[in-house]
Amino acid sequence: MTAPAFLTSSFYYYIDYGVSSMETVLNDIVAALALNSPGWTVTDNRPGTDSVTCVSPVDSSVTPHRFFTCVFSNVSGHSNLWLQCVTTDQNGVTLGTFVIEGTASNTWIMRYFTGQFHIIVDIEKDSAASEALVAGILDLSPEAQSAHSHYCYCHGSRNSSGALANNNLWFASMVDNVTVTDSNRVVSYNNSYSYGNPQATLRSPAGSFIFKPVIHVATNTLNTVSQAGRRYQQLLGSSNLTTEGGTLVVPTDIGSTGTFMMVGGLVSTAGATLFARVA
Amino acid sequence: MTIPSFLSSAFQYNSHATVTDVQTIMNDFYTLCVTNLSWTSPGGSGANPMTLKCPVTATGLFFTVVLTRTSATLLSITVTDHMGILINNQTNNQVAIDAGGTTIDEYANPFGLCISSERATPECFDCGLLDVYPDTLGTPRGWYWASSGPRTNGGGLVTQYMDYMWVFGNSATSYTSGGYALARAPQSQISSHLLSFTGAYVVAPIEVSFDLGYLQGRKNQALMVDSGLVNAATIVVPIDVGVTGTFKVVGFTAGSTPLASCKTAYRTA
Repeated sequence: MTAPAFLTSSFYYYIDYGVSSMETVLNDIVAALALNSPGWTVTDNRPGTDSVTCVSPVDSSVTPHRFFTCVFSNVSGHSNLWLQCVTTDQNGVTLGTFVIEGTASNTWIMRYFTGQFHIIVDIEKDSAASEALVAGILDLSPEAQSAHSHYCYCHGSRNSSGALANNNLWFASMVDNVTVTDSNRVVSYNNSYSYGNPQATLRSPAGSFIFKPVIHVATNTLNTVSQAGRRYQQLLGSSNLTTEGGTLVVPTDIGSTGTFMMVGGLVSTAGATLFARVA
Repeated sequence: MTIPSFLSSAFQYNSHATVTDVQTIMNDFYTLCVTNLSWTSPGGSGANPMTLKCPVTATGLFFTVVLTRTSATLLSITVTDHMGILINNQTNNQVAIDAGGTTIDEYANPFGLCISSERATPECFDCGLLDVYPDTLGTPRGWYWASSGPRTNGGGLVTQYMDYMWVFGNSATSYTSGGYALARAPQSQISSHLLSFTGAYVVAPIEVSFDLGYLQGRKNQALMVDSGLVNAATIVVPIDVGVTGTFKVVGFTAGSTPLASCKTAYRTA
């Protein structure tokens, strides 16, 4: 075989230390996406509007062309501590509005996991739990990437009102049959034995750590819960592996490895946590 | 990559039409397992009961299947691990056939076997040793399983879920039965079909976990498929670049939640 399709897209990792303002975060996003190849189309709306509009590289190899748009805003009235992301799909359908909040008491480590089909903005605050925004496109293989148009997703630690809501890695917003729903849709590899006490099975009894794709389910046009696709350059791993910002090398093919970093935001539950590729 | 380890072993398949005596099934498995796959059996073909011992692994693991002709239409099965502990702790799992003849689908590999009696209401049994890649077999110990049912000591056809099996859990003193196969479903404990968004079939390994948070391994030469595939349907699956395998749905019913839309298929080619 070759490396799975969801691990063959582009990626670029960017980190910034000592950040204390979402204005800096907007600058970082512009800088990080400028270093992506293929490139994003980034429009800096400042100073008129305190936001940047980021359009992922348009995949014109399939019809309909695949892309998503994130508008990141430094929300006024919150002392440069609120970053909002509004994600829309290739049809202009709004998938969700999510927020992360900084702290005034200390500076933050900002991590940006980006690529042609994904973006994660992660804030490590020390004085409070980390938070994150995620958005992207799902890999539909082995079907053609044009098999359907329900491939964009997003989520974040806080809702549009700034309240922590569904702040975990299992939730994601996307278009089901016809309706956008932010729901518990990431496959967690559970069984009936663990019903009511779900535990991701990401360790072997001999101590090996196991990584699995981040698969979304969605209700399809037949009103059936189905396997919608996999997130690019992201994996589920055991939360016992490392700590936020820690990296692990994972085999991706014979003789090939990828380095994945634990994402701190979006709370780890059931023994699982989100990893994103950095090398 | 190469073919996944759980699909890389030798395997045997036979479909025997109009079986009217379960001794025929026993003799078929003698051929599949002993003649073709280097299992051992002290009594030879035609024995009743027939003891089938899988090849011993490098780490000393093996299991033993005893097939007993209870009557012409009732096959009794017991399985013990390498310590001599009964795996299917019902003492007397049974598979029935029709007096007028039943098609029996028979599957075997060095690490397991499966018997699917294709009655109007199919009856199915499987057992084996899990593939533990990337670990080494036997570290820290072997993980055996036997399906729960199809018929219990009393003869009732009760536990045929594809995810139910006897396993020896952490801190256990004997094998116990439960729904241990892993679903491709979200934490909200709904069941998801193994279909793509557009309705194409999706398959997955039959992964097994019976200690919370740990993955024990995968059934060899078997896949989890969507419940929309009818019993005995076949599906061709890419298993490596340019390599396919053919799998046939066996007689287990769909699983319990969150596997209510999943069935089991074993490899035929």
